[in-house]
Amino acid sequence: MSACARFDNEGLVHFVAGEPLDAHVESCPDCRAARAGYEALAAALVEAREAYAPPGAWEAKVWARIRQQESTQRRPWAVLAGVGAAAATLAVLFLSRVGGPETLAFASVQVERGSGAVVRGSRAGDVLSAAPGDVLHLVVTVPRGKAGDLRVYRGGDELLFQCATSAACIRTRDRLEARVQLNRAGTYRSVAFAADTEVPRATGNLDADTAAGMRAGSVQESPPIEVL
Amino acid sequence: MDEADSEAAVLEALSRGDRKRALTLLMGLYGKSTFSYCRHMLGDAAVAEDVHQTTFVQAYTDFGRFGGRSSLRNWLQGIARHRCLDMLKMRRREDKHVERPETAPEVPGTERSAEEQLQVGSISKHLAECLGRLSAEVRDAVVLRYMEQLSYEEMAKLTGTRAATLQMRVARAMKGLRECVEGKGVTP
Repeated sequence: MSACARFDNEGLVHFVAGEPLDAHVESCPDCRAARAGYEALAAALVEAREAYAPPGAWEAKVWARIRQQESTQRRPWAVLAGVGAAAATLAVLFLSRVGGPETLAFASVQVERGSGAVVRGSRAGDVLSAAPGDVLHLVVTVPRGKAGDLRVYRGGDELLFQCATSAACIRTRDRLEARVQLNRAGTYRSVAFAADTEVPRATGNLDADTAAGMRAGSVQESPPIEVL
Repeated sequence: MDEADSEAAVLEALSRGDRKRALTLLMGLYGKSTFSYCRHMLGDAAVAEDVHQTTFVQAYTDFGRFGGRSSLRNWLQGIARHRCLDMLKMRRREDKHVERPETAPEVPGTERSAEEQLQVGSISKHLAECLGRLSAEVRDAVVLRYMEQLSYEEMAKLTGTRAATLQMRVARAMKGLRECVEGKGVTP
């Protein structure tokens, strides 16, 4: 802390905004010194921007990732794999009707655009982007005999949807399905919970709910959806 | 060529449907500053590299969604910011459930690249360490204000937080940073 409490307590807010400081600062030696100290700190922060440079050939790594992403989308066998995956999904659905799934999983995560187009997440770590008004369509399989819940959070502290309390959630024996409208910009996360008897009550805080869910049973999180 | 002209060249490439040219220009324009942001936000060099690359991959994928409501720089900054905050949240959640071996905070001058070490002065080293002690949202505000040189209005648009709140956040952070740096025997 500087020797000028008045500057620390009142002047700093104006200083960081680049606003004029009151006359006292100019007449008080301690305040002038305080201001000089903060000016030096601000200058050091600006200079620190130059402290790090990206590693060499980073652009090539970006292109490699883009090529990999595009080739996965275009490869003919990917279509066959898609057909295979669809068949596998049908088999899983069939088996689940007989005995139920063994693990908690997102069977489907889709963003339904206003135009009617559908984009589907393909692997963990993918980030789907969406626009305000798009709809998030989720299907979760819950292990047989377990209690399950499906929740959608915006940011870390806003619980938007919860199967346990929503009439819009379609529940079958081992499957939860929901459509949630993405109304505002932000990062949306879908989280599925399963527990032997009861999924812990939601607090609305993503971290707290996830931690409680893991203590009680199992938790799965889908790739985040970015609404821009 | 100034920033506005350079952005115009990116937009011109996009208008021709040449995403590859647009990304090449964008990486040349903002590659370094975006890396610096990620590095200051995340602390860890390897994680920052990964998130930095992810940011540009996402920009390439999402070019079609750029609506021109902000500059390309701020649009890209928004992507980088979300990816960094996601990574910080993921690591925080993992930390709650996985015991990591204790490691000293990574600061400039203590890591792999000799080239990087040469670029970093003593004050930067201590500043990075002190920045790392701030909460993610406060660190974000300081980095956006001083390193990215955004106005509070631009920051408010980017973060969805009121400009006055951000101003208070930065003021409090500056006080804490000064105490921290001085505590290390460095006078800014």
